[in-house]
Formats: sequence, C-alpha cells, structure tokens
Amino acid sequence: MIRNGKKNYNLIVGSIITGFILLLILVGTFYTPYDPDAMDAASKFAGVSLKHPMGCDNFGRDIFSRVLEGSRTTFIVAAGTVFIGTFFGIIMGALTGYYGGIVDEILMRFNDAMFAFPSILLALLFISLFGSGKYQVILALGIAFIPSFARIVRSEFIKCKNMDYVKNAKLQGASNIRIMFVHILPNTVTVLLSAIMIGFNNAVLAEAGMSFLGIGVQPPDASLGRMLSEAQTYLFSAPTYAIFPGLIIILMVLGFSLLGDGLKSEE
Amino acid sequence: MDEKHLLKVTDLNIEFHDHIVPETVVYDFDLTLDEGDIVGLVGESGSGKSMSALAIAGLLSRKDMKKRGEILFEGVDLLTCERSTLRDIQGNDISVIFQEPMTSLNPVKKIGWQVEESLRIHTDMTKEERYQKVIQMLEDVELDNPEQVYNQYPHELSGGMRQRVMIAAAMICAPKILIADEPTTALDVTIQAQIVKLLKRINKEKKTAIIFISHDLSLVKQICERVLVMQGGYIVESGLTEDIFNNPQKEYTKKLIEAIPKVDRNKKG
Amino acid sequence: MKYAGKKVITMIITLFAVTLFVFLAFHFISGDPATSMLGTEATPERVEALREEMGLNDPVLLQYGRWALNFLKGDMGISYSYRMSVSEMVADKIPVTVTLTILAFLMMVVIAIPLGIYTAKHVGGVIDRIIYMINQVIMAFPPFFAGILITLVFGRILKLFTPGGYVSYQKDFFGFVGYLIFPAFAIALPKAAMAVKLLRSSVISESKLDYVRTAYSRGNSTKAVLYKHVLKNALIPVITFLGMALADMIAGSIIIEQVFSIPGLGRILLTSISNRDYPVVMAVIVCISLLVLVVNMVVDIIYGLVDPRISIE
Repeated sequence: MIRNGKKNYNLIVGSIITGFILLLILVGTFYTPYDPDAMDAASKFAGVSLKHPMGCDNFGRDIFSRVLEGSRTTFIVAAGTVFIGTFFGIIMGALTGYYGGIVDEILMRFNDAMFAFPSILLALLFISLFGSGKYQVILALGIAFIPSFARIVRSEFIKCKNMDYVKNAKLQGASNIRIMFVHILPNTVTVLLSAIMIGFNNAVLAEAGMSFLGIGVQPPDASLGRMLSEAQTYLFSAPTYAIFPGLIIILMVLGFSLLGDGLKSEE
Repeated sequence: MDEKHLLKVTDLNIEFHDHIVPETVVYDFDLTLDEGDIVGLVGESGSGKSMSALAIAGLLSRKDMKKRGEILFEGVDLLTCERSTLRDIQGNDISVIFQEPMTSLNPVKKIGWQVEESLRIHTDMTKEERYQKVIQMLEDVELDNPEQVYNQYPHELSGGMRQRVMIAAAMICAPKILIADEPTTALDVTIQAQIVKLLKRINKEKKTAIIFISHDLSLVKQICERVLVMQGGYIVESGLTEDIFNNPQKEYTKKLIEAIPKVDRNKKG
Repeated sequence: MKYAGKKVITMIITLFAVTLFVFLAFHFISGDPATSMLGTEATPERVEALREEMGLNDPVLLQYGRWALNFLKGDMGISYSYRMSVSEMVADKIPVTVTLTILAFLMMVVIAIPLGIYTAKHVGGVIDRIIYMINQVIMAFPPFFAGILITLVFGRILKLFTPGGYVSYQKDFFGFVGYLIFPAFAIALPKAAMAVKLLRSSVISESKLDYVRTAYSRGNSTKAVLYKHVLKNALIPVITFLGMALADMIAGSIIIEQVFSIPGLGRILLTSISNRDYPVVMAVIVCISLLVLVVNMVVDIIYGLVDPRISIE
C-alpha cells in the first residue's frame, strides 16, 4: 500500500468504509435490535437516543434496524444487478469481440443504441413491463447494465485476440471456447474489476432512485431508497429519518469508488 | 565573463529529485559553441545527452531537478536568470526540434498557427506579416504547397513533412542556436538524409549554431565538425569529428564506431 | 459536413431501432390494449370489435409503422386512464423537463470547468486535496438525496425557496425558472464533481505530452501553455462526458422532479407506470429517447469540430 513513499489513502479509507458497511450488512442479517417492521405508536418520531440510535419513523419503527435491513436489500439488489450485467455482458462481449463479423456489427449497433440510453430509463421501461418488486428491479437493472459490460469486454477481446499467446493456444489446438474463456478472459480481469466497481455503485444509486420513486423494492422489504421517500414527507419534523439512510448510501458508494480508485493506482 | 562565446556550458551537473533517492544523470558537462558551429552529442539512450540539451534549452523543471554549474548564453546564465529572461531567449535565440514530430506538434492546432507561434510571442509583427513569413519559412524548409500546409493539421502530413514543419517553427525567429534532439530517429532513411541536408543548409546560410543529438554516429559524421561522446552521464571523449573517427581513444567510442554498418542500411535507425 | 451528415443518419437509424424495440416490448408484454381500455367486464364481442377498429389484428410491423407515422404527426394515441390525447398530456410537460435539464447542464459547466482547471493547475496543493475529497463524497450522493438535503437546508431552514411552490411557465416564466434553480443544482452537483475529476486528470495527462514541451521551447509562459495548447486537447474527453452527462440528466430529472414536486415528464411517466397506462409510458419514453439521441448527435458533431482528427476516418 506504499508507493513512491506515499500511502495509498484511497485504498485504505475505501477498505475501511466498505468493511464497515459489509459488517453492518452481515450483522443485520442475523441480528437487528428491533424487528424492522414492528410498529410502536409510543415511540413515533422518537429522537436519537441510546434505545434508538437513529431514532424512530412515523410508525415508531426503529430506524437503525430498518437501515440494517435496507442496506442488505440494496446490497443484494446491486450485487444481483452487477452479476446479471457482468455474466451476460461477458458472454455477449466475448462472442462479438472474438468472432466479429456481421453478428457483431448488428449486436453492437443495437448495443450502442442501448448504451446511448440512460440506464435508469431502460430500467423504468422494464419495470413498467415486469411490475415492481425486489426481483423485478434486479432483472430490470441487470438487463439495463448488460450493454455497458458487453462493450468493455468486447473491446478487451478485440485487443487480446491477436496477441501471441492466443495464436500459440490456437496452434496447440485449443478450441475457440477454451481460448475465449480460459486464455483471454483472465486477461480482462483488471478492466472488468474496475467496471464492476463502477457498475455496483451505479446499481446502488439506481436501486435507491427507483425505490425512492416507489417503483422499486416494495413493502414489506425495507430499502434505503424507500425509506428516503417516506422520510421526505416528514423532513422537517424528523430530519434524521432522511439523513441516516442517505448517509449509508453515500458511504456504500464512496467506499467502493475509493476502493476502485485505490486499486487503479496500485496497478 | 566569457563573452566571446555564443554559448558556454561549464561543469553542468543535473540531479533528479522526483524520486525518493536523488539520481544524478549528468556529471561535469562542458561545451562551448560559436556562431555557425555544428556540434554532435553522441551516446546511447540514458547517457545524459538529451538531458544536457534540454537543460541548455531551459526545458528541465526547476522544481524536480537540481542543477549545478553554468550555462552562459551571451553572458546570461540560463540556470539562474529570471524566468521571463529565459522565456525571451526560448524560441527566439534558442530553438529546439524533437525526435517525434507527430507528438511534438499540437494535434488540434493548424500548422500555420504552430509555426508562427514564436513570432507571436517574440515580435510585434502584424497578422499579415506573420503569414507571409510563415509561408516563406515553409518554402524554405522545402515543403510544397505552403499555403495548403498552413491550413492543415499535423495528422494530415507525413512524418518527413512534420519534421520540416518543426524545423520551420524552430527557425522562424532566426535563432542563434538550434538544438536538434534526435531529429531523424523516427523517420525513414531516405527522409533522414533529406532532413540532415536541410539542417546543414540552414547552418551554412543562416549561420545558426546547431547542437545535433543522436545515437547514430554515421549521421553525426555527415553533419558535425565536432563531437562529444557521452556515457553514463559523463563526457567520455570530445574533439574534432575526424580525429575521433580516425583515432578513437576510448573503448566505448570504438564500439560505437564499429557498430556503424558498413553497407547502406535500409532499416530505421 | 460529411461527418455531420453521417451522424444525423446514425441518429435516425438508432431512433428507428429504439422505437421498434420499445414498441415490440410493449406489444408483446403489456397485454391487450382493447381489454385495458374497456375493462374486464366488457363482452368478448365488444373487445373483438375494438381490436378490429384499433387495427390490433394487423401484422406487428404494420402496427409499428402506423404507430410511428402517427407519432411523427403528433398523434401519440389515447391514454387508457384519462381517455384524452397523449400528445396533449405530454406536450406542455416537455418544456419543463427541458428547461430543468438545460439549467442543470449550464450549472455543471460553470462549476466544473473553472474548478477542473484550478485543481489541475495546483495538483497536490491543499485546495486540490480538499476539492478531491469533497468531490468523492459528492459523487457518492444520490441526486434525490442531494435534493432532499437542499430542500431541508435552502427551503426549510434558510427559506430561499418554497418547497412545493412550483409556478407554471405559462403563468410566470421567471418564477418558473427561479423555482427550478435548486432542483437543477441537485441534478448538476454530482455530475459537476465527476466533470471536475475528469478535466483535472485530462489536463494533467495532456500536460505530460511532447507538444507541451515544444510549446515551452518557444518561450510560452505556463499560463499560455495551459490556455493556448493544453486546454483544447484536454477538453476533448470532457466533451464526450458532458454529452453523456446531459443524457443522464434528462433521465435523472425524472427523480428530481419527484423530490421537488415539479410536473414534468418524470411525473407523468411515474403516474402512468403505476396506472399501467402504456400509451403514455411509451410516449414519454420515446420523447426522452428522442431528446437523448439529439443530444448525443449534437455532442458527436461538436466533437468533430473540436478534434480535427475525427472528421477523417
């Protein structure tokens, strides 16, 4: 972590923040101080206290417990989105990049058209078709993310396919599939990794945005975006209701982007 | 002090300070240059020849590099003078052409704009006068269709044309010293010969002193009257080109001379 | 000019692809429009009659052609929920979203370019580092959360504007623009942070190139090298980014409109998504796509003007 006598602060701070968030999610999976959905009229809008470290919402639910659950939902959605985007992006990018030709031309024209499209709009289109809910969001965002991953993988494959080690593998009689996924793919890992980091952050922001709009994750699932949308109504009477979920989203994204920046400068 | 020489470099030492451990790249460099001289600076990459030349041109960062010694140009020490004094000399009295004419030209500016830049900085000429001068200069470096070249961009020219443009831009203010840092390395052999001929002609006609830097001894032999051989930051041998070629003293120089292919080379240097 | 023409053709082809995609997606997944219009109690005969009347029994591509042609003529169909012309519903929303996006874009440029240049000029300095940290945090901000905080701070606490006090542009144009300033700021902020970061690194990497050394060798001052040589080169990647950011902002305004209760395209899109009012959803998505594609085309053309290397291929 030390290079040219300078510490890689991005990597250090990014790891700490991401570690903290992952810890929160892990703990929240097994234990929350209160039932995140338990309502308690007596503690409606209770302020920050030892009993409720982030206060309570309009139904008297413990915000801290809901934040724990919400960050897990947001994390799962983002991870699922990136998984779908990466998986199909790799397949599409690898095939088009490796084989080229007319199929590549058509698929990439289509891909460019989709890429020019803001992914949130694409996701909205799918949501209006699939309906809303956690899995629909993962599917909608996942599909919306495929073009950007396919684009990156394709350009890496085009770069690699004429390299000597690929020619060598061909001479040794390796099949095309083997060359694509055993020889070339591992060489795209660095580029892919940074794309995944960026994609993850975009997915977190997109999920939060869609849930905020009420067309993402649906109750009873808690999500950071949904909490913010509910909190907006009570902004003045209970500002902590909005601030804490917002803060967690920021930390989640910040951690990953610092980590990404840090890894980039390590190379 | 020594006002008789156009340029007098004494005991120049250059040290890098941008890493943890300071690194010296040039030791005790000495050079004198008078009007009309052509001096060759020879050595392999990393020998310090380019560093010394860049120091003379005032192009080494004052922050990251420590320099000792003196570079007297007409009595002014370029190492210690005001930045504005240095800038008045750069491009006006001392010009540089570089190895890679493609990257050394600004990709998004027209050729004419780049060639006349020194005129804009150092003279009060009107736009029209500058235009005339640039066209004349482009003709002078043997470019066809100067009016057309004036409005073109670097990527639209061939490598040889670009280097001619670089020379035109460097010569536009009729400098007293032209530093040519491996000016032909990136070019084809035939173009190399043309560029060398052009530099020789400029030297004859305009009395411009030239510091010609190259790792290619055969080129240096064609153009230079004096040679400095550098290795590992030191000048290992210096003298008249003829003497050094006929009677090299140092093992390193002998090797460099032996490395010159006897038959015409047809690969890039 | 040949280049610009090429870009226009590309845009038209892309627009065709996008609309076809949208049309097919809705055609196959959204269910039968005739049933949606008549409700579930309608007799099969009435549904069938309406299907015939609406041309739903024709081949898909014919239906697409008819829909696209009508769209071009300004007829976007009839809303299921409101039984009124979609064109009428959408028409007066477009200026709202467009104004909001343009304001945000201008703010982004005005904030990002000077800051980007400043930080690049003072790399490693205290202010550069502070701006770097602020940037990292701002980039992590979900725009709607920025909107919420702005509402809280500027609206509720400082009382610089009235949250929810939107004024229609037909009534009071300056009041309208005035209300949009803070929402636009919320949209602009994260993009501006990204643009600062990009411009900074672009200026830094350009400054290491050979032509910069050439510029110095002619006696240019540091300032002249930056403004006359480096900047134009450094702006080239930033232009691409600004174009993408503008497209994102058009889409991002959907969310911000919700935060600040602005009745623009976003608002109507969300209502119709929850009402399953497909003609409206399709119309809004196609309108936004059209805006995005036009922006992309303009950016491509500007790109060609700035970078002489692009126009020859």
